[in-house]
Amino acid sequence: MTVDEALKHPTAKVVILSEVTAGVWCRAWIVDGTFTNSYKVAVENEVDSVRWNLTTLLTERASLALVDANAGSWFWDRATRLLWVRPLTGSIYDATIQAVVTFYLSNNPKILNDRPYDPRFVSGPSISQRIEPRFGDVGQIGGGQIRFNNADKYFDRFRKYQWNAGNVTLKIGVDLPNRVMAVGDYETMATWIVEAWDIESTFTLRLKEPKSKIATKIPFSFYDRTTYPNIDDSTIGRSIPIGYGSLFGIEPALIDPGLKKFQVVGHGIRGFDGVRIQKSRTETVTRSTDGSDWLSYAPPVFRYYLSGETIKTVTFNGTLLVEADDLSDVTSTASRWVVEENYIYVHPPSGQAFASGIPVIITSEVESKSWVTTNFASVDASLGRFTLGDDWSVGIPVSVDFRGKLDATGKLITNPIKVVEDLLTTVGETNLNASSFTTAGARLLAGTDESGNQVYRRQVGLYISDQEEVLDIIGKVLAAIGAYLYTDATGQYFIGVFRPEASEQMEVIADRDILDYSEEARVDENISKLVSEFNEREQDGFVELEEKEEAQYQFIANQPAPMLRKSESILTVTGDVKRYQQRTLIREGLPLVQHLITIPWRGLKWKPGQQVLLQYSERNINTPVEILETKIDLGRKTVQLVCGDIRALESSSGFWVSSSDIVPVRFSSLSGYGAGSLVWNPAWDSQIKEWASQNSGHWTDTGFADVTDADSFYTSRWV
Amino acid sequence: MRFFYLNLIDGAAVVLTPTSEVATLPVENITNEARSIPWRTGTSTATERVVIDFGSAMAATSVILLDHTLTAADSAITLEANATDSWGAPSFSTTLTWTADAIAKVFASQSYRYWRLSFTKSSAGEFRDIGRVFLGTYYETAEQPDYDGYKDELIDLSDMVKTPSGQSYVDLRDKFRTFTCDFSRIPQSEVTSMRALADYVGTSISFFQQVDAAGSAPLNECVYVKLRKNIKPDVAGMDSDLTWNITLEAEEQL
Repeated sequence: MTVDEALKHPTAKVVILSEVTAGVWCRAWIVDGTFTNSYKVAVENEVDSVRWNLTTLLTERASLALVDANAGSWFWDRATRLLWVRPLTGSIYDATIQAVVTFYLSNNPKILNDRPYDPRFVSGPSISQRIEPRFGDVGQIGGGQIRFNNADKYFDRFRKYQWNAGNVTLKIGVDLPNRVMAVGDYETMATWIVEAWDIESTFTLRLKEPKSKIATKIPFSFYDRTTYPNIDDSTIGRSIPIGYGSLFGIEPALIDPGLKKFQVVGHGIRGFDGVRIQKSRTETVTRSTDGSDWLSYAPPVFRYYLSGETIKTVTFNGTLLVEADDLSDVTSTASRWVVEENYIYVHPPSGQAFASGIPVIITSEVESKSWVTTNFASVDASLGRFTLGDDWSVGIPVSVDFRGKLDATGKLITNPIKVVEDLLTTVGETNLNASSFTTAGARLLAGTDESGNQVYRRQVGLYISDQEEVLDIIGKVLAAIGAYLYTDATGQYFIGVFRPEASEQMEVIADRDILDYSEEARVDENISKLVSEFNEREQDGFVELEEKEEAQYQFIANQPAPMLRKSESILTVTGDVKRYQQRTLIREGLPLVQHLITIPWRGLKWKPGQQVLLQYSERNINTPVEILETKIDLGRKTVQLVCGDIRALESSSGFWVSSSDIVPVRFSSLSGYGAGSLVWNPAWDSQIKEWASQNSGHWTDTGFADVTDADSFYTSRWV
Repeated sequence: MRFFYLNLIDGAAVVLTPTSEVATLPVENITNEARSIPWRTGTSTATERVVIDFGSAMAATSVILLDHTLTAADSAITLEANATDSWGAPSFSTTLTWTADAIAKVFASQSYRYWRLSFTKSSAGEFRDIGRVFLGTYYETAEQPDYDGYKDELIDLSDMVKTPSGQSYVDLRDKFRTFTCDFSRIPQSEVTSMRALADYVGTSISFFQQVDAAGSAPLNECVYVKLRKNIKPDVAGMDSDLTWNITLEAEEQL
């Protein structure tokens, strides 16, 4: 019997096991009289492991004699409650030695694997897991506190233990009235670390989730002179970027001016696609003005506005004037000119004045810049480097296009799920649920190209040049591809690409399960128009743009103007951006509906992203919903669910079905069933229509749009 | 009615030596009030024993084995006592009768330093648990509770919630019993004994009670309890013979 199976029973004993580890700093070592390599110290609790200066685990031995014969080993003598250690190296008094002990506690008396669980559990933290109703942020579990009975002052003896050096693991099992769960069927629900503790009549441990590396900022390597001895001073200290996918208009770092060598990232890349340099050209412009074009300043001084040019000469009515040092010089002396704040001030020659018909000729220099494609002198994709030829010299801006990071097989990472995986592993988050990553990645597989390479939809381009938290970077990917990522209560990462599912195989939440129910709709972030910038060429100074509007969402929301959102997308393919806009407008054009449901322990193991069928006849609801949040109340043994309306799709998704599929025979007694054809039939009983909407969709070109059947106007969509 | 509350094996100087034990469930657990944490035997020999050394001779008149997993197929459940830790021909030996509930026996007072509890498992490869052991003297009231003065109520700690649609969900928890025994017009000497009991156990120390040793179940059952309330004797008559009314309320311990 698994936990899943047992949780379906309405009468059950939910057993919560708490395994709490703590550190014991061992200091009062006494050398043994016989085994003189070994030292002893009293430790009351059974020792699980011994840490030497934090990072080294000493080796457990079966006897004191074996400890004495082996450096870096330990033995805990149950009879004498003594811990024996032979130092790893040097003096035992110079090392920090910490024994790790475990307390086995529970909410019911239990003996599992010969291990008694002391039933001191009073209450536990809410175990909460969530994903965002709008794609984006990464969901994580929270903290809380766990309390154990200490009326007999049991824990007082251990007040000197380092509870923050261990962790708290909650496991769950379910006994039924006549069936006791086997120890092997217990499942781990959550793991936390301890940040504080109180010892009173209850022993309270305040918990936080295991320290997350996902908040680490990347890139975490920088250009320095040790690695890049010829680097320009201005480049030292800049992050060495990370790049994924197809990237355009990137400013490379000049790592060796003498060799004209540049670097774009700190890892190998698939290759360089092009490079441009910025050329500058200066032109001399002669501008003839009339005296009447000039503005009076302090007669006889007049002025003329001209910006963006470098003035070289001014000729007044045939007389070449002299450039003055400042404006006061111009006002006091004839035949002078000066430029201040884009105005040319002119004092005419003596006896002359500004007037209509008097020519004033200005010569100036204008500089123009343009990007010119050039050739690489050499490239080294394995290091993300290239060199340029003689047409480039120091100071000339460079813009380069390239394809970024490679997977383990040397191919460009094009699957965005792999990008997320790579970002996580870059910062050491390796506890990934392989199955969910594989499934999510497969959902984005479009096919195989002529070279045999797999082609993925929703490809992203990410150039991470300024330090940013991985959490935020992954959030951008999730938002772009319509996916969610969360850590479960044990710290494992799950990922999913949202896709509506047919309801036939879903778990059902029915009236019998619902302890509490409410529904809310939010309209504050609805949109009817989406403008997406993508493939930004930062160095070249332009982006690509796509625009999509669904005016009906504006109209039904009774808004006088489009509900506009501008977004910067990291998608790189125009078609993907167009489909992203379609999906987003479908999802966010209508109010965000959330069902808040409290159910008993049945849902203890349900996960965010899971889709379930809500059949609540009391409220006339029969619709698939997506679990956005689960919050487990260990005290009441209930689960609060926040469920979304399948990203506004509700039952409107279409599904590909086989031509041989039929409506399930359990509906055969209902009107309109006939031979069970899936072709939409206005004469169907409402139950069949509901089932068909949820499992095959309403997409036939015959039989719908019947004025007597409101449901027939509600045709299916694909996203 | 009998009260088994002066448990000699809980003494600080007592040394327990078993033939076998599981390291995480040592024999010392039989001295632990938490009955759910037992002594678990090993699985290499059929006959299991635990020698109890009181350090000096101690008188006992009763033994109780609570929360045991001995089976009807097990045999030779024996309590022995001797002045030395030598068991060839112990001075005292009595056989206990197996029951699925608590195994209990009273006997004539014996005073020895060493006691030994033995049983032979039906299979050497199996283990047996014993949750709690009582060994000591007991106090027996001169009179039984009133004829209509015994109440026994079962309390179920299970937590039930009902959905608005009527489906009930039950979070199963343990059950326990509460007992009420009324004693009317009992003499001062009895009150003195009961007060000694109450002074020792208060409402915090567990003990065994047996309502009617000669009766049938459930009255002859040895139940592990604590007093729910301290006793409060009411004077019932103050003529030539002072008599009292007392109600004992106890709650089964889990």
